[in-house]
Amino acid sequence: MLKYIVRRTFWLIPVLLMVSLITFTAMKLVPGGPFTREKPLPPKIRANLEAKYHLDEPTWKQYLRYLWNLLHFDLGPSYKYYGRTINDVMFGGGWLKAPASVSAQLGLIAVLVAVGIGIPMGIISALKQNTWIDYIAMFISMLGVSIPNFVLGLLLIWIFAVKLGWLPVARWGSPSQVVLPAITLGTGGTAFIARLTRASMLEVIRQDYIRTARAKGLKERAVIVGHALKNSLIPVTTVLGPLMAAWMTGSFLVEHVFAIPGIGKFFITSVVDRDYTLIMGTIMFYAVFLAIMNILVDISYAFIDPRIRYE
Amino acid sequence: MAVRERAIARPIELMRPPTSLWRDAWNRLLRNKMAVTGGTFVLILLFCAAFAPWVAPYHYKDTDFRNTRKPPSWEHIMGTDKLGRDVFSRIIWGTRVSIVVAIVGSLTSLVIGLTYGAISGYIGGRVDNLMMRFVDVMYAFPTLLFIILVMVVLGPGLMNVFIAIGIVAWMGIARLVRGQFLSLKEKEFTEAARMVGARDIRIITRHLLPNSIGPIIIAITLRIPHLILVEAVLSFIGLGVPPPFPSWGQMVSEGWRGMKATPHLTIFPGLAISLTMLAFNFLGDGLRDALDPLMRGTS
Amino acid sequence: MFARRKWAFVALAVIGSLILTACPPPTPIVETVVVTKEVPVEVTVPVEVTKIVEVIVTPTPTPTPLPPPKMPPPEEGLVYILGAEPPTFDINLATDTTSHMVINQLMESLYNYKPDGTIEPAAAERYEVSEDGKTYTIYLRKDLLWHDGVPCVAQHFVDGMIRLAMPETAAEYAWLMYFIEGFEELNTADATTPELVEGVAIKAIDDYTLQITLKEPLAFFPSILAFFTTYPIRLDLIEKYGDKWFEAGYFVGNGPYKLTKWEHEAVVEIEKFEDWHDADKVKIEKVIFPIVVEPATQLAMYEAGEVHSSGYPSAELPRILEDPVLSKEFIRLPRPGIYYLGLNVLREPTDHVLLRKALASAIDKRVILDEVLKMTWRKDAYTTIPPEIPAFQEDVGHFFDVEKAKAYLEEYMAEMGYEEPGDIPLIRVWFNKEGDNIDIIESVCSMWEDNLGVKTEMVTWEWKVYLDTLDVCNTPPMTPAECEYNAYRLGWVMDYGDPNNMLNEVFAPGSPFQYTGWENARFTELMKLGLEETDMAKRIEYYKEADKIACEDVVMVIPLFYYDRTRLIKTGIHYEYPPFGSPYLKDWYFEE
Repeated sequence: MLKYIVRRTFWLIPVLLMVSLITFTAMKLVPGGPFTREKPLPPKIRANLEAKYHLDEPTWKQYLRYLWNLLHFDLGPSYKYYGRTINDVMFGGGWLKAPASVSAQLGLIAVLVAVGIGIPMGIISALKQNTWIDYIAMFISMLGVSIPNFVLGLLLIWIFAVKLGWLPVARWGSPSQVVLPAITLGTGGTAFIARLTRASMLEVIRQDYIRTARAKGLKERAVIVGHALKNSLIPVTTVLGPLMAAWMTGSFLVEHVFAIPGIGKFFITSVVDRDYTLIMGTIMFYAVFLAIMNILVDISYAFIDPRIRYE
Repeated sequence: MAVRERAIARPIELMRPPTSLWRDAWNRLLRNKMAVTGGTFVLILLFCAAFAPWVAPYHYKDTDFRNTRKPPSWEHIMGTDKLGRDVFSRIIWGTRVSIVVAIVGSLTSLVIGLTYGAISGYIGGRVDNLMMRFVDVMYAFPTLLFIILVMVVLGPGLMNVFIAIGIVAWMGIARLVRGQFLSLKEKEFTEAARMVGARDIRIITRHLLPNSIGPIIIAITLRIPHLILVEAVLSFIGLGVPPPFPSWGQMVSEGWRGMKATPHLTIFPGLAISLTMLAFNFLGDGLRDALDPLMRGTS
Repeated sequence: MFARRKWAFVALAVIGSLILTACPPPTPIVETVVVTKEVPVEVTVPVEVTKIVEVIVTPTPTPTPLPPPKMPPPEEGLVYILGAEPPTFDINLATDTTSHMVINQLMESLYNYKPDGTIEPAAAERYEVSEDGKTYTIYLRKDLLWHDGVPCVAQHFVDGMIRLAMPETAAEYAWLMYFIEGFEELNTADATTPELVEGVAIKAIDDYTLQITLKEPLAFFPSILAFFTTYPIRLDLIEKYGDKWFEAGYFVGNGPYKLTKWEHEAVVEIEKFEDWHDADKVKIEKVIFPIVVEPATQLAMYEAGEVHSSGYPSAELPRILEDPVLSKEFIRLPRPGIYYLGLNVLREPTDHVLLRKALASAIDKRVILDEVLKMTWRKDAYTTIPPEIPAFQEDVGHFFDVEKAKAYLEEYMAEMGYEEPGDIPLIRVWFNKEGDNIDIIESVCSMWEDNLGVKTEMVTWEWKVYLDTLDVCNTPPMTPAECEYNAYRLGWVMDYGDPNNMLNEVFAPGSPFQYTGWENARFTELMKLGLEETDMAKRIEYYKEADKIACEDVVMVIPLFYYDRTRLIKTGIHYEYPPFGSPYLKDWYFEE
């Protein structure tokens, strides 16, 4: 098992290298630079700025310089936020308040919501297939998947924050500010996980060993929990890896609507602002995070399904 | 007397006309009411997209500055937008964008993914390993950011939006095709073809591909709702289809902030998006159920 | 059976939702209708009769006063939403309105802008101009203090302006100070040298006297004294703290407020500086700036009573203007600037003045403002100088007149030999897609097509790329002739209250800020005269003539409308906004 983990971690390095190379190339192909402002810069000043950020060096040199800094965990200076480094922009502010941490907190809670509601919903739907419970559950799931995040978010704000005043409108810091964004973010995932669990459960139930268990005289509850559940969770676990990576690295839409200071917006604004280092930083962070999540998922397989072994 | 007649009549009923696997799947699909509904809706969309100038009561550019932001009425059954343009007409015209997003996006990811997966799966071994590692690299990119990056590199233009959406989605198809090819390659019919002396290309196109089509079709159909949603998100950021073409995503993004004052500007295009996504989901689910025994045979 | 039941259910749901959504509840519009009716009054001579009358007293309905505004308690401070993360608080580098909203409270410049656009002394007490009009001697207050207790002296102001000039700083607004002798030389050099610094004519005569010498006398130089380019700076602190010097906990200013908190992307907080020279006049002790980018969320926070002031999404404007509470809290203030279309005079078909006149006359700007944007208070523009600035003219330019437009077009077609308007080459409009631009440009193109019959095409750009792409067209050997646009959209908010900022710095031939490629000898001459002349009345005549040339005779620009400043502020708050720059929160207070 340990060897497997080590091997997987090792593979990270070439993958990350490739990711950084592709991103760097794409960035250099992007028209427009980070120094475009409201009023055009006189060429002298622009040349000065570019020299300051080493943008006048040959491209390969810039890339190597970037890699060198990366090895020292230095993600470089931000072009948009003068005088600040990417490390500070993404990770500054302490454990609790750092944007990366804030996004992770929101993402984790949303995942718990999605899993906590979605899996039971899917199981019950599967067990009560084709009854009205099933239809309602699946209909709600469909809704959840087809309403865009930002629409749902604003609706929730109007109803629960402005009209009823039960919850604060936006921003982050107190427990009450977690509720609406977590629901908004979690809804789409809940639906997706519910459908997935249901489909998977349906398949598992038809398997022979379930029939055997029932034939043996086991109580239904024991059959489900003891046998069906673990196996039906495998597809869900597979999906959970990328899902957690996507949510915990910040959902741009939800963070935007709820004014949450996470890193979600950087995924968009960095490109729009042509903040080269921030683009690189967010992509590298995401890649690493995803890789870690996938490794965790693979490890959890071993616990769920003893048939899976790792050499 | 009657019983004996029935007893003789039955066997004839039990004998069905000879049919192929595809025919069977088609029949199964048709029996699935949800899938049929979805499929019909998709056909209606295609019709609207193709015949938009005749279906839509107004042109999408027709402005009427005296009648801006009006709620639904008899002249404008879905109301008017900020420039007095008819919302219903713009939704009809908008089907073009959605269909093209679906088609071009799917086509792009199909072309890239199919070729990639076929090569990787057929050759196998170290090459396959390496190619799949590259797929891992592609997966490591956050989707939205990469789409935006690609779009920004390609520059302004209608087609570039769709291509960018497709470029990011080819990996799923690639993995699928590769998996199919890996297993199909070991089957007897492949061995037989090889023994007879068929060249690789022929094996791929005449034998492996047709047997892999099922899951590919399902994957693409189920992927389309996602593509449409991505276009909506891009429009929200302001990087979607450029004006004056109407796209549902753009209409939702425009109307979203004014939901309280002019709900009709968000609700109708939003409904269009949701129903389309539902339709493709139903269709995809139906296809999956219909092609299931087919697939069961191959795996 | 399974399929049928599910199908029926879904069909029901779909139909149900369609029905529900097809009938949106009508938005009630509260209209007060005043009805006057003539009532005949009969006058009767009173006869004294005692009668016991049952009188039913109905209380006269008094107009129900509006409920007190839902807002955070004043004791906790003013809560003012910031619409973006401030890129920096480095006073030489910050150029955007967000950063300056905060910096303006932390720093004190030599003069401040009054709401009417004139200047009043702030850090300075008074100034004197020399005989030749080139040397300004500014006398500072003697009680200026930095937040860390160090006295603020003239040398600090010199330091601030020199740092602005230094090429290493790469400050974007250095060009505004090129009037000052030696400034441009330092700014355009390769590196700072002590000689170049010596050559900049900004000197501290003593601790409380500052002297600035201009290249030429400049009539409007005093208003530059209120501009943020004259802030003082503490070089010793920058050296000590390096790149962190403008963060909370390090920032030291000389203004009425101190920077107490800056949680990036989340919130900025400032508190009153007790030792400021007029601290007793500052009523608001603390200001909290939550950073909320999405306008819809800003409005929601405002309506939920979580903030005192916010922005709003333009889509909600109709509702705000009709809401009894919000319409009163919606403020509209002048903000000199224009939103305009520049015309490429070097490219077909906009290379012909008659076509440009036709285009200018075919746009119904009032309809765009009233019907499309619902900005009924905003002023449509026909010349570049806004109403608040001297040299504004009411009846110059091309007004909306379809007949005239068609006449121009006919004449143009006759000259060029076009049979149909459809024969005229395609008119391409470039613009950046942010904000309401899409709606406005779509309206303009629609009007051109409907009123004139010409063919138009819209090309959208991202802001970052837009200016860069336009800049390329201005860089020799390229000229706008080679670039594929006929019209481009831009806006300009004025930096100071003089027509020179608009006509000379933006629109003059050769200005890097316009992309029309136009030349006009008289205009260039007028600009020179305007700069040199010191008699205001004469200057106004020069600029009026120049504006007429630009907008009416040559039509290298089609102004669309003048900007203004709008915001939502809760009732019960006294606010003040100068026409240029950010407000001074030290002058705000909660009314009793």
